[in-house]
Amino acid sequence: MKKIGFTTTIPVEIVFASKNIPVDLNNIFITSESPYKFLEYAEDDGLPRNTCNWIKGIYTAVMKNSVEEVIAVTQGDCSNTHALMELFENAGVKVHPFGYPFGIDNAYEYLKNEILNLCKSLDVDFEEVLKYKDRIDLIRKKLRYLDKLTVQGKVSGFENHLWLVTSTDFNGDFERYEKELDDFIGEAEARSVTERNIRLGFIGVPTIFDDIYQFVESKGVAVVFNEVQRQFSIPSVSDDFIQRYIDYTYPYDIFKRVEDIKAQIADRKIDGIIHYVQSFCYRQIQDVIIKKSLDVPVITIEGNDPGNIDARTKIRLESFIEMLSEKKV
Amino acid sequence: MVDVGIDLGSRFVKVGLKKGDYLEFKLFDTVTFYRDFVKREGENIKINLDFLDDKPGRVVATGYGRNILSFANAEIISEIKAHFKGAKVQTGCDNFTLIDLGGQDSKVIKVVDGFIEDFIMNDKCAASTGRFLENAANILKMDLSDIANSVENPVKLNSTCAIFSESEIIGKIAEGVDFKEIAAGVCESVAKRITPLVKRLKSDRYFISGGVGSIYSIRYFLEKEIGQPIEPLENCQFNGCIGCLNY
Repeated sequence: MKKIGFTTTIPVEIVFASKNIPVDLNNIFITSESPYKFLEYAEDDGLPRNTCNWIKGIYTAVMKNSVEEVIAVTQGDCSNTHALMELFENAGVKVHPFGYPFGIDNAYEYLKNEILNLCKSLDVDFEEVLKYKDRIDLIRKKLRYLDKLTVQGKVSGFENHLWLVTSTDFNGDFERYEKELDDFIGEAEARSVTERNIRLGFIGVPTIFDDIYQFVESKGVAVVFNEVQRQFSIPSVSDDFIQRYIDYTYPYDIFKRVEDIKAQIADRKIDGIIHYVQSFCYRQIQDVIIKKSLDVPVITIEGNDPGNIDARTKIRLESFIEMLSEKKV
Repeated sequence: MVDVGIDLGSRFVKVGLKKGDYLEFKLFDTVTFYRDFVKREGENIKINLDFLDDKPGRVVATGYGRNILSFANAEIISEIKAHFKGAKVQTGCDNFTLIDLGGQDSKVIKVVDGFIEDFIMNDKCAASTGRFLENAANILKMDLSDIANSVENPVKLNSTCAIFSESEIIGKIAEGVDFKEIAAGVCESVAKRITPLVKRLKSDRYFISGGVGSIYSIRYFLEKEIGQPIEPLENCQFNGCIGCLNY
């Protein structure tokens, strides 16, 4: 049984079916005792200061031997991963490349091919993967329910973030994850509903800040949507395993994401959107299209280092909430 | 009793005093103000208002640091709200875009039908603010008032970083470029950095406030960039405290 790291969400059922332990390298970095040390390590090795810190975090997670092999997403996430792959190979780490299709022509066939290739690379039968799909589907269903409880006000935006973001690898053990999830849902169901005047949604990659949810929610607003974290939990209910990862919006173009965001804004009655962007990430550019496409106010918050949000970001968030409150009166 | 509005800026603290129709403003250096008038009393932080001739009535404060400090004897409102309110009171308009250029902050606020529609603040960089102008003035050994009127033949300054800009300015001096033309270049570079923020919140009418907003050459280059007139508010630097007084 090996630990197999991955650079962003992949069909995790394949890793479980191969009887290995999946590890989301982003989570290793951000939940470590000192994420800063991960960044220093990467910079000491020569990674540029003006590179996304998630990339540096992933780099260190692998170089510090957290995993034995790496699945690197070569298409559908940032191109920095290409260079990371090369560094890993150079250091003797086995790399399995995996790509999401770009464009819609033959997307299904392309993805099917990538999934079958990954199965081959990890020496697992696709039929076996489908058995794990059926088992893990029970957990995915519970996560959709947890998301519903968030909209109802029984689960906080931060709790929603945490559960959905860890569903990329189910913390390496889906049985234990499910048990903990059952306990949490049981507890959340018993809570009374917190009525909040303003409903916000987070879009963009998961934030590198520790306390942004707590800060926003302490201002009396509800965070009822975490776009990318929800996508990481693979919310598509298609029976077709391949189609499900085609419906998954994160690795594809911004237009598909905008369509999903707009539908969720309407369903969840969202008043405003916080677009989180990571410094030096190509997704920052997509902010232009997001602002043009959404009908509710959007505030863009940029983060670089892990840790607490700074005073300026607090002022901006607070003013945004005030603006929404006054509009609503 | 006098009502007090305080705008705690990064460079200056602006205090507005209002008693009926009487309105007066006071300007303090920020560090001096914190040293002389902000005191910790047990758990609380208090603004010592002994410098007032009259007894303070309602005290409302805004500005840099409001998330760091919470005052026991002042209501705190956000800067966006304070500047929006100040501009609304000073102009009597309900539809406009306000450009507020301060010591370390640049804010653009769009107001539609009397409500804040949207706002943008500079983030991560102070290269478009008063502090940058002050540094440039120091290097050029010019008064801010001389810089304020320099608009002819601006030299091109390319650095995206305020600190690198300083070495670029020194380079221009070494090349023998006229100081006034460098000063014009500094003002043009400030205007160019703010332009994208303004263009994102277009309006039929533009007002400008803040210490930097009162500088003619900044307005001149900004008007050139956006192709519309920009009207300075009457009490440009005190707009935030006027907002506090009217909140």
